[in-house]
Amino acid sequence: MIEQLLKGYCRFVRYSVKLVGRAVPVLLPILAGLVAFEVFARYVLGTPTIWVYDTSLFLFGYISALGGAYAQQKKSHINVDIVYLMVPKYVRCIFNVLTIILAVGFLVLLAKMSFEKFSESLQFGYRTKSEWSPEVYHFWLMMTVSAVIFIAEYSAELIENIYYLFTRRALFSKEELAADAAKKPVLAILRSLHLTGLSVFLTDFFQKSQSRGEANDYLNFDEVLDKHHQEVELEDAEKLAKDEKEIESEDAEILTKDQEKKGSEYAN
Amino acid sequence: MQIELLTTILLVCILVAFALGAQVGLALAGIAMGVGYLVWGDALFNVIPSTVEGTFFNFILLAIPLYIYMGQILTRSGIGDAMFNASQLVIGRVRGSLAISVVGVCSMIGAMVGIIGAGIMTSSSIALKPMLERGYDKRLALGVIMAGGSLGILIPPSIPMIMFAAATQNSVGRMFLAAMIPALITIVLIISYVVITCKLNPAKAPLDVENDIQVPKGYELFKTIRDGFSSFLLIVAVLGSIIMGIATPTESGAIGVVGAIILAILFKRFKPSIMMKAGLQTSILVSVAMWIILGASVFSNFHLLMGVQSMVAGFATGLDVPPIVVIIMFQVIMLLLGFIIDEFIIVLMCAPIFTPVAVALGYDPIWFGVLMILNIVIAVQTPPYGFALFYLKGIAPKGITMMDIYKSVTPFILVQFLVLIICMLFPDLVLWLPNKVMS
Repeated sequence: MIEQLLKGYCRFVRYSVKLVGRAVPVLLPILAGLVAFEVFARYVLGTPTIWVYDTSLFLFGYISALGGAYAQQKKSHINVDIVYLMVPKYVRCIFNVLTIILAVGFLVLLAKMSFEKFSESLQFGYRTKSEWSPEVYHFWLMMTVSAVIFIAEYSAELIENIYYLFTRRALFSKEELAADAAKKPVLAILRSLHLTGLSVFLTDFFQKSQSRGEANDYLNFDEVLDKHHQEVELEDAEKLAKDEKEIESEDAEILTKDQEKKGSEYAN
Repeated sequence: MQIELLTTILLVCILVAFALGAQVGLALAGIAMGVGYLVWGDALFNVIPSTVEGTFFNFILLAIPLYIYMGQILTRSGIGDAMFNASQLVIGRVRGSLAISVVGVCSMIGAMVGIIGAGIMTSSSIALKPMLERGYDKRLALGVIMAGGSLGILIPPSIPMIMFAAATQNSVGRMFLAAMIPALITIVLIISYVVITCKLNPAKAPLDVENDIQVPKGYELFKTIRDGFSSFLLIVAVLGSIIMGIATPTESGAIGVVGAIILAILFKRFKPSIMMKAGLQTSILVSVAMWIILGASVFSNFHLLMGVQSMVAGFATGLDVPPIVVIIMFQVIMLLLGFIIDEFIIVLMCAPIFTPVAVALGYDPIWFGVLMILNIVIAVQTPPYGFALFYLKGIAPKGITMMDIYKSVTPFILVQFLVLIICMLFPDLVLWLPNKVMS
């Protein structure tokens, strides 16, 4: 039960972070195009723009701040791993917990200060100190959001590490991780919410409240959840089998077509 | 609290956090805020928003995503291979020609990628296989890849140089120009080392003729020349637009991106999947860089607020030694730092503290910056713990021990060390070009 909840939470966080991280690069070509357009406007059109400077800086902020959590998920952030790689996995988890607490400490401050800045700039209408001077409140909101999703990513990692420390086994097996990595984030977020067992929990709860008087048998809950999972997996397996069948039949068709073609060529 | 005591506490905390494998940027910021809260209370937290503004509303740093994006598009669309093949056409008959091309091309690629680790990875993916296939000595092959890949940060456009310029309020263009001559000297010295060692020991680098490898002909030949030449042209255009004053370094990065996309389309190498991957990789690298810059800036802003600058300055002048000794001392500190941390952090931590002292001693900040970059190039590949060594180990074929790698990089480190000393003794080598062009 608890394990399922933890897994569901970790998956939900992981996919949300992945979704944001995958969406951010879309801004890159726009950023490059804008800055290049500025040069074009200055030399070819003869009128430098006033809005490119601020817009490109905002885009830069969005790209670099929002991508931080996904980079953490990908383990791309730089760390010094001379000692880290020499110690056993158990000790490594302790290290992780300590460093995560340190990092989250700063991120919480960052989120708090950014949110204060956000409400301030909304209230007083702060603007950038440039010619165009657009409002800045959305930038601070974005900083708050990036700090929060960074914290969320760390919280999921914290759970995985602490789980390992208590049980001496990983929360997610390697196969599960590989399977998760292949899923599309948007659908997976919904599914992970579903799999936290919330929906099952609720239906179960209502059923129980209807048939009051029966023993509050919470062991029952695990069974329900297990059954539900089996159903989901079964569905998946059926789908997969169906897909494979379709592909096979398509392949067969193509093959026969090819053979027919060859046959007709020979005939000619 | 005394600034000396505070600095000691901060350093101890940093060492512990780094040993635990913390994410460096956030750890630096976390330590600064934690220790700062104990000293100053929560008024200190106002450093955070102002640092965020200074980091993200910074048109100089905006060059980072653009250069990385350009490098990603170029290397992923196979332009690196094109340059490599084209350079083989030119010097294919010289013994050790492959190794020479690797130094040239990999330093270009390293420059485009802008980060040492990525530079070494990209270079090796292009150049390691051809060298080993043709029977080159493994140590020579690994050594030149390391030298070429790490030289990347010395050749403009270079991300650490942009960081230095942003951290010390210097001109990026001047910085780029100043690094040109030292970079050229290093490349020439490394190439002459390769030529001499191959002459002395021909078995290290068999000639193509001995291997029956044919020079491409007809359309293939034309394609190789066209690809190599136009990629070279793009680099010249990017650097040229900065030097001629047509565009700021940031804008020339954007020109480079557009140029790289146009080249990829022209050469029929443009695929949406390449753009997707380049974009994703770029955004990850950029957020890694920017979160480190943010964290390190929070740290150094706090540290500067506490008055570390006057401490270092007081210490340096109080020593009563010739100024050059102070400079050498800084170099040794940075060299030691390079054993454990990567180029970004060294620049971000040392530049704001050391540069004002160097200026106060009467030195040019640009000269000091170039020395710093040269120093970092050496530091990250110095045995036993230079972190670039581990990248090299990661890409090396099986059977290569750490000892082999130490031996393979040693001659190149000595060459680069020589250049550092030359530049230290003759500041004019560094300053002549920027003064001439941008005075």
